[in-house]
Amino acid sequence: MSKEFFAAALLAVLLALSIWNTSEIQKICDGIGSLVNGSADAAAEGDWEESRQLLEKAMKLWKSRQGYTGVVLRHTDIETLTDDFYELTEHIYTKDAPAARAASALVLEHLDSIRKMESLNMSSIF
Amino acid sequence: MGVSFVRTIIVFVLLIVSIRIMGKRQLGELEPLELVVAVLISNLAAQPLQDTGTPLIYGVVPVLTLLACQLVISAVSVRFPRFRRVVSGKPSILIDNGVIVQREMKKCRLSVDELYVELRINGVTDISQVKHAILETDGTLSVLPYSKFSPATPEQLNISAPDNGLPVSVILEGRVMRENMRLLGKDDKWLESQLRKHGVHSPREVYLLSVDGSGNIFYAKKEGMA
Repeated sequence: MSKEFFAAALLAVLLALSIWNTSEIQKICDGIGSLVNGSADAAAEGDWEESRQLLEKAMKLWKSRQGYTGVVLRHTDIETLTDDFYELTEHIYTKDAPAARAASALVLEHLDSIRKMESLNMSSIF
Repeated sequence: MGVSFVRTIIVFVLLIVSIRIMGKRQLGELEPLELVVAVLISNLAAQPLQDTGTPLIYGVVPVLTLLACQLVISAVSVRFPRFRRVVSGKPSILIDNGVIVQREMKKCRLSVDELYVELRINGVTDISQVKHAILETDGTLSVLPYSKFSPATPEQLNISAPDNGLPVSVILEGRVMRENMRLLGKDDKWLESQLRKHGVHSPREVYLLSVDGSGNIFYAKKEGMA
């Protein structure tokens, strides 16, 4: 019977880990998202220095969690978002406001897509 | 990860229901639960191996989920027969007291030809000899002939039949099984005498040499040996 208890415990652990993972991914995406939003707002106001600093913070946060995201996210999603970050950085450095706005929207869109994919709802399950 | 977990459970339940609806004939000597796990595990494990861009956890979580579900459902099935009937179904009596139960045949989508095939597999050529034929939950057919057509046992014939016990291999494909020899209480001298008796000089020339509990020896020489 111990094997069956182990199996039931394993199911409970997997369920708990799944729920924790969902909230962790949301937390990462929300954290990065708010920094990218702040960076986009600063760029819109012409404060390029503030925009650059916020974006660097966002990138740092994204890279610091890649040990975890590399285990739970598809590698193509990680690579796409990293590429989007580099593109946004380029536009912030060159102070190209329309391109920076578009690139920010792309980063936020990909973050939203990752958040949706990992959240437990009907559209992500089916 | 959460999506993989929930998806696995949904597909698992869906497959069990589908296989139960398909009926016992599709099972091929596996219970529905075992078949579902066997079918799913191989595919799930292969996916992250083929695509290195997919994290291993996408294969590990579903496999562990299936394993745990299978163990839990098996345990619940043992405890609650009614639940077991839901998951595995119940045996179908196709021939009852010599009468073909046509309603059950229809329910199992089994033709008379197919019933004959199953009976022949069970060594029965005359359907009138069968008292009961039961299609088990794993898709195999159990055939119980009338007692007058059943093979007579030594007890019925009043003769003694020695119980020879389990045969133990002493030489397997040229290799001497020392542990088995020790269990049988045989030594190298005995082995040499057996080899001499069969006209060989070395264990390497022997494919199989086994001894049963009564000391009966089975010997097979390796092919291609002079």
